Amino acid sequence: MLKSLYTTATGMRAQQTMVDMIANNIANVNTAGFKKSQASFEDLLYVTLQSPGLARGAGDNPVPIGTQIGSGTRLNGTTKVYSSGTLEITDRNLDIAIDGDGFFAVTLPDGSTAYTRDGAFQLNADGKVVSGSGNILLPEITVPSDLLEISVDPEGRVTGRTAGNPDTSTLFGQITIHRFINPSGMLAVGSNVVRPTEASGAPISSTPGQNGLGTLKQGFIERSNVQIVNELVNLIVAQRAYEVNSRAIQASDQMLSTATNLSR
Amino acid sequence: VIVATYGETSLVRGMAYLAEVQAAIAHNLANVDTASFKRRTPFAVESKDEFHSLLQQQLPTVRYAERTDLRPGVSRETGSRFDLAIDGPYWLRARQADGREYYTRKGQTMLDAGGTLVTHDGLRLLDQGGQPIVVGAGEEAPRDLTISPNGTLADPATGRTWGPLALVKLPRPEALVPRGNGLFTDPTGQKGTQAGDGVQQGFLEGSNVDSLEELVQMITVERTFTATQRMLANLGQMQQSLTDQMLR
Repeated sequence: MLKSLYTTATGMRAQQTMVDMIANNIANVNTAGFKKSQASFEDLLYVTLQSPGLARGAGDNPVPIGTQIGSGTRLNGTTKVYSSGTLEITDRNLDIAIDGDGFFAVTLPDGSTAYTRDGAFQLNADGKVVSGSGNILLPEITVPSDLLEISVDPEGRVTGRTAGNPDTSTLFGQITIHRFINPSGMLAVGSNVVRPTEASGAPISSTPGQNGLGTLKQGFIERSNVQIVNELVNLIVAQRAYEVNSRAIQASDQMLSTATNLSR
Repeated sequence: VIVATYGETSLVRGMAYLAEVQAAIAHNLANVDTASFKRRTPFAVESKDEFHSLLQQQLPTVRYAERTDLRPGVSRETGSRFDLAIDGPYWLRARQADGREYYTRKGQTMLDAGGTLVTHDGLRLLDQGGQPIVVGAGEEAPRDLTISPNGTLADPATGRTWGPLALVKLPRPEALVPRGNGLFTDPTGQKGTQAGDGVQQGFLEGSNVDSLEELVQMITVERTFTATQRMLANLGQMQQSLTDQMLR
């Protein structure tokens, strides 16, 4: 009975985590480049009371099936789902979406490299192309201060015209994008960036459109891939599962109280 | 008095049995959302008690047992190319780092840093020859990965193929022992045969727990438990009045 109380508590905790994760997905429904998370659960270890194929006593026939009692569930992990979000036209010339596989690389304030799919870039005071949170795009691209027009082609070439040279376009730099064999293995660190881990593998870097990487689309932004309807369905499922687990706690408690009433 | 004592023992055994059933139901309900979880079916086995020296015989009693309910769970679409659902009574083979092998139906896979197909817990999925499937890492890594129903992995861009995945049909799947985490071992060492088609890419098998069924069973257990406790109390009163009369 006490076992069933603890077992059910693991179920309630798992559903609680599920709701937390759904809440995070829904909260980020309008975050550019956000990738939804998915929780997966696993059943916990089994206590073997009786091994199959062993006899219970001398002279008995071996029992064909054993008895193992499970002890609930636990969160196995959350994985980010890297399906594409919808591309939305913004007509801002520094909004760059990746159409297909790939990440932009940026330098974090601590000097390390992180990856993002959020292509809402800006120019900083030095004329460098930076992400919305001010992280510098790698490889660094600096544009002159007398910039008139900037354009990014699908292969990542950044060109533009300046006031000093208004008739011909100048090449400012080349955007490189990166992909990982297992993007779900990357570590999300917030602010729309992820870091590579041992599980994700090393980045495969190339110009857009090469080596299986996607191409760039200027004037577009990638919306979050969260689908509100799916999240709400998951929310209902999680809530109901939480309810049945709490009902099981009540039943176990009731049985425990009945057993306690044995000693009058 | 002996009969009364025997009755009490038997009723207490019954209550202990019901408590175990409740634990199994709790385990099933806790795993109502666990991918490819197979529910545990509790059942009673008629058993013989220890040799009773006064009655000179073994009395019948009840023993708790469990088996795995192998019915498939409902598959749902996840859209991830690394999610596999298994359509049919087949099992994937997975090998742990220490060499231990398991059967599983949990098809949440990924590629590790070395480009080997592994489960989310890092167990390597095996092909028909019992070898891990290495698709390559770095520049070698496939751009896309399709998995056909017979378990063959392919990169549509280059046409390279790997596998097919071991998809085992066991003659007696009920002999499998759950080890947690969706993994099962086979202590009887059955020789499985390779199934034909059965892999669905982009889907994941859900838990086969039906919460309604579990709740109904739980109510039955609760009521039976209360009834057993009442009978036990009645037996106690019977003995009480018997002793009272004898002493009068």
